[in-house]
Amino acid sequence: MAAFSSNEWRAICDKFTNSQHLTEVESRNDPENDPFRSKYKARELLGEIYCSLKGFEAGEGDEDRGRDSGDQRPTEQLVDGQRVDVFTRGFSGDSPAGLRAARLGAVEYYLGVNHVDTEELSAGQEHMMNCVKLLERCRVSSENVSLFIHVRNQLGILWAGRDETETAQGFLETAESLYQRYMKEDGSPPTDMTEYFTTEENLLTHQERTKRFELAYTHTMYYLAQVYKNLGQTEHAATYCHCTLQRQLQLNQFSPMEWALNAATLSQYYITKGRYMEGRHCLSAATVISGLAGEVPSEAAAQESETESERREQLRQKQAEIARCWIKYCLNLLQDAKKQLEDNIGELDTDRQEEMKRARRRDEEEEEKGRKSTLLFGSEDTFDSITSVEEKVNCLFPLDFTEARAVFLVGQNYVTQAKEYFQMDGYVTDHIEILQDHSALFRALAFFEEDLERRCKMHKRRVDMLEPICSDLNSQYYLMIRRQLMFELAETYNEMMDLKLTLANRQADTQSLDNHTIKKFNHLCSASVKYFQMFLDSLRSPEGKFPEHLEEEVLRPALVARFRVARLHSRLISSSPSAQLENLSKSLEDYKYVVEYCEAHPEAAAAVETELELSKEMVDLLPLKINRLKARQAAHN
Amino acid sequence: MADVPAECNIKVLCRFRPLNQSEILRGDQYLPIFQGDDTVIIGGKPYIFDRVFPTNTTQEQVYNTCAKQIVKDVLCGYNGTIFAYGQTSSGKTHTMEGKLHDPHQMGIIPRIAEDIFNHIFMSYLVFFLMLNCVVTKTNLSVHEDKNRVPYVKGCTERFVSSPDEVMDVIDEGKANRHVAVTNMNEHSSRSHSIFLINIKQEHVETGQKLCGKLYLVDLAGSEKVSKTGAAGAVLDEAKNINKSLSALGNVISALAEGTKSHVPYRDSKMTRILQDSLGGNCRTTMFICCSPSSYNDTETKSTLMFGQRLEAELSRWRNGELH
Repeated sequence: MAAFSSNEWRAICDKFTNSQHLTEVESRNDPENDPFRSKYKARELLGEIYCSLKGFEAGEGDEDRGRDSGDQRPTEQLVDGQRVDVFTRGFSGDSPAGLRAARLGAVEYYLGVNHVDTEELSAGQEHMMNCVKLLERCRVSSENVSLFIHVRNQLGILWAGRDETETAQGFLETAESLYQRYMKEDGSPPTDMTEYFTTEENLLTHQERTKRFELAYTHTMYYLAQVYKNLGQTEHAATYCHCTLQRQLQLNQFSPMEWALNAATLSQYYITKGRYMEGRHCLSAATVISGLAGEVPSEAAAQESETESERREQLRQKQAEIARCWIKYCLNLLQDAKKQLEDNIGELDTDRQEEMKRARRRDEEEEEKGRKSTLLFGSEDTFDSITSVEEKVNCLFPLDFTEARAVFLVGQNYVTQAKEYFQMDGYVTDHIEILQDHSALFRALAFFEEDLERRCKMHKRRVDMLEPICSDLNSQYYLMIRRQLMFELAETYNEMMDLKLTLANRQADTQSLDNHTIKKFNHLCSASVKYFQMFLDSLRSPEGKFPEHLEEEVLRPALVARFRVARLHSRLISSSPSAQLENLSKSLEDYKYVVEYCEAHPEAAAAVETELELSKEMVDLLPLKINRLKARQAAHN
Repeated sequence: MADVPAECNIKVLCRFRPLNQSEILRGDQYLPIFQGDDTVIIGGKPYIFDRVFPTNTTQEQVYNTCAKQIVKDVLCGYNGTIFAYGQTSSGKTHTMEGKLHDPHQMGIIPRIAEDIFNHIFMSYLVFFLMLNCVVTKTNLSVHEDKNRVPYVKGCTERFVSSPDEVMDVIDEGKANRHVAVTNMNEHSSRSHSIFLINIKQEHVETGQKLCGKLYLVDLAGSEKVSKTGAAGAVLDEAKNINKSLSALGNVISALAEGTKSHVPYRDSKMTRILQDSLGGNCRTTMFICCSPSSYNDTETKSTLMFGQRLEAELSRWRNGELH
C-alpha cells in the first residue's frame, strides 16, 4: 500500500503545525485593519495539506471502494437524529480507508473552523458538512469519534448563530448520543484532533487523549445548555449546566473560585423554582470547592504586593457573593414556607401546620429516593465535606418556630459574613441589599413567632437596622433605594402598631387603654405615617409639586401609601375632639385622592382594587363620622 | 422641556448611516424602511425604539434630540450617561465623534464639549474633571460611599479648560485602549471605554455647589473578536452560543435571574458603574448605530436585536427597583 514517504509526511505534519500556530498564536498579533491575515495564511496551508492527501487517495482508493460497494450510503441530508448505523456500517475506523477519511475529515474540519473564524459562515458550513459526509462512511471508532463530536459541536454553534436553534440542537444531541454509545461500547482513549498530522514521537498519552476527549464532550453539554436556554427549555438548560459543572469537577478541569461561583449561581436558579434540595446541594458544593482556592492572603501580605492585594480582593469578594446566595436560600425557604402555612389574613394556620407535618412524616422516604436521583457533585475527597455542609441547614419547609429559627440563624450568619466584605463605605448598594435581606429574614421569622411581644421586638430590630441608613443616604443619588427603605419602614411601624394594639387588647379588658400604651401606639402610628409621607414626598418635583400623573413604576406604591396614610390618620388615638377632627379630615382627604385619581386614570384602578374599594367606602362613611363629631363639639360649647 | 427630571429617564435610539460610495458602486441593497420616527423595518420585521434616525439625519439634529438636554441636566447637578454601541462600519464613530472641527459634521462628543463651555456662567467657578478609563477585567476598582455613587478609582484624571482639551483627553483614552486590547488574551477581550466628565460648579459669592456627571460609554469592545459585544451579564446577547466555558457563568446567570435570587455579578465593575446611570435622578441615552447595506445585514439585525433586548432589560431593571 502506497504511503507518503517519511519526508513527505513530515512536510505535511509541519504544515499542519504551522497552520495551528498561525491560527492560535500569530493571529493575536494581526493588526486591526487586517485582522485575519494569519488565518488566511493558515487556510492556504490547510488547502495544501488537503490536496496532498487527495492526491494519494486517487491512487489507492479503488480497492477499498470496491470492498464496501454493498454499503450504499443513503444520500439523505444528515441533519439530526440518531445515526445508529454509524456504529455498525461502513469502513472500520482503523482501516486505511477509515484513517484516510478521518484525516481528510480533520482537514475539512479545520478549514471549516477557519472560515467561521473569518466570518465566512457558508463556506465554513460547507467544509464541516464535508467532514461529516466523509465520516459517515466509517464506523465510529477510537480513531474518529473525537472528530465526530468536535465537528457536530461546531455545527451546533454555527446554526445557533443563525438563529436556527432546532438545527443546532439536532447536531449537538447527535454528538451527545454518539459519546454515550461510544463510552458504553468501547471507551478507549480516542485519537485527538491534533494527532492526525503528528509524527510517531509526538503522539499523546492515553491520559491526555482522554482529557481532551472529555473536554470536548463537556463542551457539548455546555452548548446544549445554551441551546435549551434559547429554546426556552430552562429546566433542561439548568440540568445541562449542572452536568457541565459536575463534569468539570469529576475531570478536574476547573478553577475553584470560578466553579464555586457558578454552582452558587445555579443554586439561585433552583431556589426560584422552589427546588431547595438541589439548591442546597449546589451551595454546599460551592462552599466546599471555594475552600480549595487556597488561603486568602492576609491584609499585611496584601499591603506588600499588588498581586496579593488583588488576589485577596478577588477571593474575599467571591466568598461574600456565595454568602449572599446562601442568604437568599434561607430567606426564600422561610418565605415559601410562610406562603404555604398562612391563612387568608396572613397568620399561621395551625390546621395547615398539622397537615403539613403529617405529610412530611409520610414523605420522608420519598425524599431519600429523590436525593439519590439528583445529580450529585463531588469527587471522593469532596463528597463527604459537601454532605456535612448540607447537614447544617434543612431543605424542607420549616413548619414551626424552632425549625424556622434554625434556618434564620444560618441566614443571619451569612449576613454577617457578607457584610464583612460588602461594607457600607465602598459598597453602598450591595450593603443595603444585604440589610434588606436581613430585615426580610426577621420578617419571615416573625410569622412563626407566637409570642407577640417577641414578634414586636423582631420588627424593632428591622427598624433599628434600616432607619439610620435611610436618613444617611444622599437623596439625590440613591432615590430608588431610599424609596424602598421608606416604604419598608412605614410598613414595619404599621405592623408594630397593630401588634401593640393586639397585645394591649388582650391584657386589658374591654376598657380603654392606659396612657402609656396610647402614647406608644400613637408614636408608632405617626412614625408609619411619617415614612409613607416621606415616600410620597420623594415623588415631588424639585419645586415641590406632586405629579399629576403617576409613572407606572410608582403607581401602585404611591396609591397604597396614600391609602395607608389615610387609614393611619383615622386610627390615631386622641382625647381632644379638635385633634380627632383634624385626623379624620386628613384621612378623608387621602381616601378621596385615591378615589379621584382612579376615576381620572381608569388603568390605575386595576393596580389597587382592594384599596380602591375600601377607599370608596370610607369616602362615604367618614363625612358622617366627621359631622357627628362636629355636632358633639358644638353641643359642648 | 425646561423641567429637570425628577425621575430616571432612559432612551434607546437607533441611527442608520447612508450607503457609502463603495457600497453604492458594489450595488448593495438599501435595506431599512422607516416608519414614523420610532420604527425601522428590516426583512419584514419592525423594530421599535424611542427614536429612529433615518440616513439623512444631520449631526445637529441628532445632538439636539438626544444629548443637548442631558448636558443641561448635568450642568444643573444631575447625572447623565450616553452609551454607544455599533459594530464595524456602523457609523458609530461618526455619530459619537464625527469630523472634530467641522461645525456641521462634528459628532456628539465635540458638541457636548462646546456646549458645556458655552453654558458657563461667569459667576460660577468651575472645575472640570475628566476621568479617562479603560475598564477591563483586571484593573480598576470601583468605590461607592453613601454620599456618592460608584466611582472608579485610579484612572487618568485631567482638569480641562477648553473643548480642545476635552478632545485631547479622549484621544489619549483611545490610545490607551488600543494598547490594552492588544495585550489581553482572547477570552477576556471585553474592554469598554468610559469617559467621565465631572462638572463641579461653585458660585463665587454664595458658595452654592453643583455637581453633575456625564458618562460617555463606548460599548463596542474589541470588534474583531466579539460579535456579541457583551457588556456585562445584564446585556449579553441572547442567541449566539458562547464558545468559551469561562462564560458558563453568564449562561447560568441568565437562568437565575429573578427578584428572588442573587446573581453574583461577573463584570461587577461595569454593571455597578452602569447602576449609577440607571438608578436615582439621571438621564440615560443609548445609541445603537447601524449600516443600511445588505452586505452587513447579519450585523445590522444582531445590533437591532441587541437594542431591543437592552430596552427590555433596562425597563425591567427600573421596574424591579420598586416592588
